[in-house]
Formats: sequence, structure tokens, C-alpha cells
Amino acid sequence: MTTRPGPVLGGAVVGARDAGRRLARRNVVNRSARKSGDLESAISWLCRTHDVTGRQGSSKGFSLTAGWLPAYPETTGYLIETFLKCGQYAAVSSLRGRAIELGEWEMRVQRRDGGVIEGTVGDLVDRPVVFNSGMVLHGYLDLHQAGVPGFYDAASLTARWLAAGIRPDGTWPPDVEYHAMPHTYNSRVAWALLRWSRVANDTTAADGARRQLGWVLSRQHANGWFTSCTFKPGQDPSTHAIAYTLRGLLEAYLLTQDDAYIGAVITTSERLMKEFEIRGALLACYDSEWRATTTYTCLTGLAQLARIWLQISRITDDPRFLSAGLKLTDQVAFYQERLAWTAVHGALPGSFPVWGRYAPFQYPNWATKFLADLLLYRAEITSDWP
Amino acid sequence: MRVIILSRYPRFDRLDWKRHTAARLLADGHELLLLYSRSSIRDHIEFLAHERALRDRLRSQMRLAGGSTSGARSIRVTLASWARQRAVELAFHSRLDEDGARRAISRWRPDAAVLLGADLVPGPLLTMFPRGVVNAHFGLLPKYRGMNVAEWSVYNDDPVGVSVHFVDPGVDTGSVIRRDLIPVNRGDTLLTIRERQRQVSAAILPEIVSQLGGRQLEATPQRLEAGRQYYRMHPRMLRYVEYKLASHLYALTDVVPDPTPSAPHGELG
Repeated sequence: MTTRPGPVLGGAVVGARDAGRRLARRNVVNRSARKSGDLESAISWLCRTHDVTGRQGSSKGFSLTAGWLPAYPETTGYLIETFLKCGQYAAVSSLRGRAIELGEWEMRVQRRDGGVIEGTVGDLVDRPVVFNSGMVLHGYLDLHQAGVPGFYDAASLTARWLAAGIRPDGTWPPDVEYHAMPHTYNSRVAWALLRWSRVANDTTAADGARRQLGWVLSRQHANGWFTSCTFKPGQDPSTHAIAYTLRGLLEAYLLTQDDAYIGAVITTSERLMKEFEIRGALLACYDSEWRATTTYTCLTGLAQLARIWLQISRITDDPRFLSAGLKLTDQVAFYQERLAWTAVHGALPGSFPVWGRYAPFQYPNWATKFLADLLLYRAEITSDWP
Repeated sequence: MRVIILSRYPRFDRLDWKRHTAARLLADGHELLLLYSRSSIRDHIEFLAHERALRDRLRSQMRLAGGSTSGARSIRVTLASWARQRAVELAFHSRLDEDGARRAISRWRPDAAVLLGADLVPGPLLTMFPRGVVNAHFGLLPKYRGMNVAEWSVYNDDPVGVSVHFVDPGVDTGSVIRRDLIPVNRGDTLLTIRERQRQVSAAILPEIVSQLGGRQLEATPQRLEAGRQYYRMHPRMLRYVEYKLASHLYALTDVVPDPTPSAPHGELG
């Protein structure tokens, strides 16, 4: 599934450009970088991730070393929301059609017990994991709530599998967790379960979600840092995992109006905003004293955080988050790929520089998904500005 | 009193209000040392890059707001060259926390310091001024700490002002000595408001420095929870603030300020 001029040549061009960009700046990202971002080319690239699989799910992304990657159930699940919302915003009906196709594919690869497999369809690992299942549940619910028939039963199966597995302390057993450890970013799964509980009046799912969210809150330190906010044991939290955690809590607040959730989001966001405003940039990972432990930037996490800050500004009426969110959006948009190479044009790399340890030499489909979500949200909240 | 003026970027330090403040301090009989940070060639290259971008931004804002840029006009003489003509001592350093700066202050044995657009003063340096370090902050404390506070005040429909405070190791967190409201009138832009803030600062800072030499000045500690630290405002929001001023949408346009604004107690806005 590679695309000419070929990943190796393209990788050399992108790598040389990023090396130049890094040399030109002392800090890891260009602090004064400002680009408006191009929603249309981001969506076009996401459509390409769908097309290159023969419209059987969305490719995990484009690798500068391996070409197009196999379809990825987890991120295909939450891409449904992006296609539905962008389709509605731009009045492009084909995007809604694609969202439905993605949902139908998810149902075809759904396990009998309702769980969603770890990894891509090419990995041949038939093991269900909690987070991936939660992300696909979001997709089913997006389609159901958009009035598309036929997704309720699939949502029900996945939601019941998730709710049944939650232990009294709010976590899931290690055998259904990525790297057999609990993760605070499962707050996004709790968010999906809360949504489901509203749709189906399922109190078991709601109770389980509240237990999970309580556990997530218990992992937060007074300075806003989270324990267990990593993909693997022994890592420091990345902005990507932190943003996942915060978004789950934020949406849970919107559904429950529980102030503890938004309080936790603000505590962490204030700390990160201060770091961003004073240093001009956020690096990929931070230790428990909020010291950066990497020299690269996780662009995926920045796109997510910018969206969260813009959302906080609307909820709390604190314009500092609006300003910081807009600045961070400018920074992320600067790194949206503008090379006239269809395999990457419009996409967002996982990291800057492209060899950064988060998705190295890759344009993961979820990075561009979060960029598209961000650009769409910014367009919505600034549409009436003079 | 022996007073150190702390400022930065000596090659570009041309603002009138700084010269007026220094001239008043000199006329009041104080001995002055002008200590600069960010004086290296590299600092100045960075300043040029930053300042050019800033000037372009301000010009584009002014065009958008239909205003004039006259508020930003300043004389061509730098504060440093003005000081040289008057035999005021000068010291140049790249950073305030470097040993050379500490030694220069220690040798000169100052009583007090005044910040005129200076870098953050490192905590250990603050103890070298027995009468304290004072700063004129272009926002009303305790509500508005940090940067672009006049802009944030207009954005939030709060009063604009100047607060003179003692400097502590935090960012604009020291005890407040005095606050003055700044009127905002029709036709004002961010530049004219800032110029008014500078004029007020140049008038009140020397008064306060003179009082430092006598009895203990009454200053009110800030309740930090009564305010927020603000950061540089995003250009789109700055444009909105200019638009708000130009369209008289700022709620306090032409409102006569409180006649007793300088009371350090209580919260405005």
C-alpha cells in the first residue's frame, strides 16, 4: 500500500526539513510559528486513510519507512465523529457516508463478546482491550445519535462488555488492559459509558463509569500530574495520554455536572498552560514535578490539548485558556504537512521532529483526526468574531 | 538615596517615560546607577527579530482599528546615552542572575531599585536593596498580574490602571503601594492607553521612591486568589480588543474614574 515517490525518498525530505527547522531554533518547536491550518486538506488526508484500505476501516496512518499501515479499529472508531461533524459543518454528505462505512466495518471486526481487538487488523492479535473498545463505542454512539439506524445493538454489546468488566475500585482486570496496567486515560472509556447510559438508561454502565472516574481522580497529584497516565509501565506521562485523560474528565463533567471532574481538568491545564506560556512550547513527556523528560514534541497531544483549552475557556469563561488554546493551535497547524505528496499532504506527524519517539516517522490517522477536530472547533467558536 | 534603575536592551531603550522617570529621580537628588540586562549582541538580534514582528502586528491592528500610531512615538535618544550625558553610572550585563550583575550591585551599595521595563529580578538580588525594589505594573493589582494586562482588562470590561508595588520573587505578587485608574476615552487605542499608563508611571514612581527614604511606606499584601496571572494575548484577541475600543464596545469608555483610585485597599472591577 505504498505511494510514490516512496516512503524512503519522502522520509529523507521530511527528515532533512525537520533537521533544518530544529537547527534554526534553540527550542524544540517554533515558538512564533503561526499558521491557520487547513481543515479541508486534513479531511482529504483522512479520507485517503479510508480509501487505501479499500474502504475497510481507516489505515493506522502513513509510515515514512513502511508506507500505508493496516486498518486500526480503535482510531477508526473515533474517526466516525470527525467525519460526521465535518460533514455537517461543510455540508458534505459523502463524509456522513464514510462515517457509516467505518461503523459498518467496525461491526464486522467486532468480537462476539463485544470487545474490540488490540492493535491493527494486520496484527492478528485476537485480544480485546478496554480503551479500544471504548473508542469504538463512541463511534457507534455518534452514528446512533446522528440518526443512523443499525448501530444500537453493536453499541449495547460493547457497552455491556465494558461495564461488566469494571472492578469495585474502578479499574479493569490486567488481561483486558494494554500492557496489563490500568490507565487514567480510560476516563475516555468512562465518558463513552456515560453517553451509553444516557442513551439506554443503563445505570450499571453509569455506576461503573463513575467508579472509573473516581479512580482517575485518585491518581491526580496536588500539582495536577497523574500517576498511571502512561501507555506502558515505567514511562512518564505524555501530553497525548494527559490530554486523553483530561478530555474524558471534561466530557464527564459536561454529562454529570460533577465539579470534581472539571476541577481536576483545570488543575492540570493551569499547570500545562503556565509551562506553555512561559517556555513557549510543550515537550512530549513530563515527570511528577512537571520537568520535561524528552527533547521532542508530541504534536498529537498538543492538538488534543489545544482543543481542551478552547473548550475550558467556554465552560469557565477564562479567556486565558482561549488565548493559550489559539496559540497552541497556531503552533500545531504550523506542522501540518504541506509537501505536495499525496501520501502525507494535509496530515499531522505524530511528533516534531518526525523522528521523535512518539509514532516516529509516522503520520498516525489519530493525529490528523485531532487536528481536524481542533480546527473545526476553532472555526465554530470564532465564527462570529469581527 | 542611592537608587539603581533596572532596564534592558540598552541599544533600543528609547521610551520617553523612562527618561522622564530617571530625570525626576535625578532632580530629586538621588544618586543613580543604570543597570542593564540583555545587553549582548545576541540579545539585540533577538530583540530586533521580536520587535519587528511586534511593530508589524501593532501597525496592522492600528489599520484595522482605524486609529493612529502617534501614541507610540518616542525620542531617538536612548536612556543609556541620556544617562551618559549626565554622568550617570551605567552597567551592562546579559542576565540579572549572572555574577557580574550581583557584584556591580554589591559594589555600588544601593538603597533601593526601580524597575523600568526590566527582567524578572532573581530572589537573591532583592535582598541587596534595603529600602526595597519598586515597579509600576500596567494593570490593577491584585486582579491583573502578568502580561498584556491593559488588553486583558479591556477584554473583560474591567478598569485599566497602574499599580506600583514592591517587587518580590513572584510575578507582580508583591505588596501594593498605590493604584491609579487610567481613563479610556473615545478614540483611544491600545497604544494611546499604554502611553497614558507610561505618563502616570513616570509621575508617580519618583514620588514613591522619595517616600522610600523616609518612613515605612504603607503597602497592602496581595491576596493572590483575588486575581490571575495573565500571559501574552493571542493576536486575534488583540485585534478584537482594538475593535472593541474603536467601536466603543468597551463598557468603561468615557467613564470618569473613581476619584480616590489610589487607595491600595479593596478590589476594583
